Amino acid sequence: MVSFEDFILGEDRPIYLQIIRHIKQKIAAGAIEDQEEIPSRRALSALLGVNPNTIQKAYHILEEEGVIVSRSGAMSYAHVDAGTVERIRRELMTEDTKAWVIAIKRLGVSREEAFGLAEDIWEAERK
Amino acid sequence: MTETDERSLCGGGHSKQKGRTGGKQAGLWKPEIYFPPGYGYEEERNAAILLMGLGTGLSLLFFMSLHQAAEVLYEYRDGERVLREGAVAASFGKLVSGHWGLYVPLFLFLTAMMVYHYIYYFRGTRSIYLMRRLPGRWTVLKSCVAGPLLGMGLAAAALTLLYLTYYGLYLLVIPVGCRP
Amino acid sequence: MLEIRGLGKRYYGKLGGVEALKDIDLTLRQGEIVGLFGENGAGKTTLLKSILGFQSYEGKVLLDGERIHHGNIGRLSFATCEHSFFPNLTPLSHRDFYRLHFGTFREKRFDTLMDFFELPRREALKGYSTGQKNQFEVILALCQGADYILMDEPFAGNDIFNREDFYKMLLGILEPQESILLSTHLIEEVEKIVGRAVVLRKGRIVGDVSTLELQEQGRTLTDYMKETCGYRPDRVSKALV
Repeated sequence: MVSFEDFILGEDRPIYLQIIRHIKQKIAAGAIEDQEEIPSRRALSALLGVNPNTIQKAYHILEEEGVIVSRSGAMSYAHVDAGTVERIRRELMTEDTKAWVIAIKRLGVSREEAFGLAEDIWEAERK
Repeated sequence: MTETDERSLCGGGHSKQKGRTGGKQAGLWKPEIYFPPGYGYEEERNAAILLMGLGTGLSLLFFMSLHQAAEVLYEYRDGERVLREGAVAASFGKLVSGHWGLYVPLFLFLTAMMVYHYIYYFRGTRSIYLMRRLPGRWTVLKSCVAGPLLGMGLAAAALTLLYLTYYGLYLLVIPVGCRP
Repeated sequence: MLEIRGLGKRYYGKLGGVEALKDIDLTLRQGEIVGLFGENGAGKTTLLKSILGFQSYEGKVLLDGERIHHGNIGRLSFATCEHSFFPNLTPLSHRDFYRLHFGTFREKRFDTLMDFFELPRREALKGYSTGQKNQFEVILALCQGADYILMDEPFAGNDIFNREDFYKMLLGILEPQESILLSTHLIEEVEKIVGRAVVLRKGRIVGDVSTLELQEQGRTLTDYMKETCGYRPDRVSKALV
């Protein structure tokens, strides 16, 4: 069962996007196996204290993208193959990097300075 | 409103007395039918009984009135008690009229209690909001008036019994020719 | 569905009276969790009481096409901050009372909720703390077996952790055909659990929006309320000049 224990509700983005992100992140990190069970809408709604419509929207989008599959009853399962993992990895990476680039550019920082800083921080974060 | 659960309705300790199990509420006397739920009917019942007892007690003064009315019909001649000529006693109606006094307060009291029961639904909480949502049509009304109506019925029955008894005595005591 | 059409309520008084509600058009479908918001005196309580038939009103309230009457009123339940239980009775006696009058009492849910909130079943309600009383009031409304559960500021006096638990429990136990209309001033808390927000101002509906829509627009419910209620953020700073 996909866990939501480390899920913290933020204020900055629509909740359904945060839920989608949470699941995709776990897939990208290899923490979710193929056919692993996703909490039912009602269960997740009660766990997070969030209206079922929000959960429904998140799941609907994930279904359309082929990331989860809903079968009979309220059960949903992750659909994870090598292709999906790579695609999602790429997607999240691009999203985050894009956000960084836009933010740092807004400060008027040059490309060298930005990349130099990124390398320094990368090194520091190794520990 | 008769089946399974009247015991537990009473058994939940709804009265003011602690530790009351309420199992004795069986048979005909089911207070939850006659009074609002959770209402402490004991005081009211006791007051009604008191008023009825007093009313009945005071009405016994009828004996005095009857005795006087009877005595007036006789006179003493040569040491003997003899009916006076053409003596007519007071009518039964007149004799009895002064003696129902305390039954009137009883009926007034019971009528006031009907209103008091309705007010009960506004005290502490607004249980009136629950009562007015019940599917049963006349539940609120029934719960307010059933108890007092029962009391009035019993009082009326007692009154009738007394009335008949007193009338019987009147007929016994007052000779036929003297009745108006 | 519960349809409210052209509902109005006028109180008569010295200066011609007050329109506590005017032209209220609102439809509640099965399974919706709707928040009813507005300032004090906006008409939230009046609206709920009118729906339940506690007072007269103009307009119509229809439950699946029928007016509210003794035959269908059991499909509506009510929890109020004023409390509508009997203080002298115990929870078990209330259960018996509900079983007797409403044939749809939810036994299992009652046990689950009483256990979860650790409420003593054999103590008279008047001995409960305010928070416990609130909880029990809501429990009764949820266990009646109604399809439309109306709640008027049910959590006044409960601490925040209490409330959080309750919201989650609510989301977990509600069935697809059950609908909630919740009137509260706890906007930020309730924002996540409601699917739709209806805003009243001076007796009229000034807002009716799905919370998903607000999320997508990046607006909070508080923002929305400020817009619809004409809140001026600079009012204080202007006054202090």
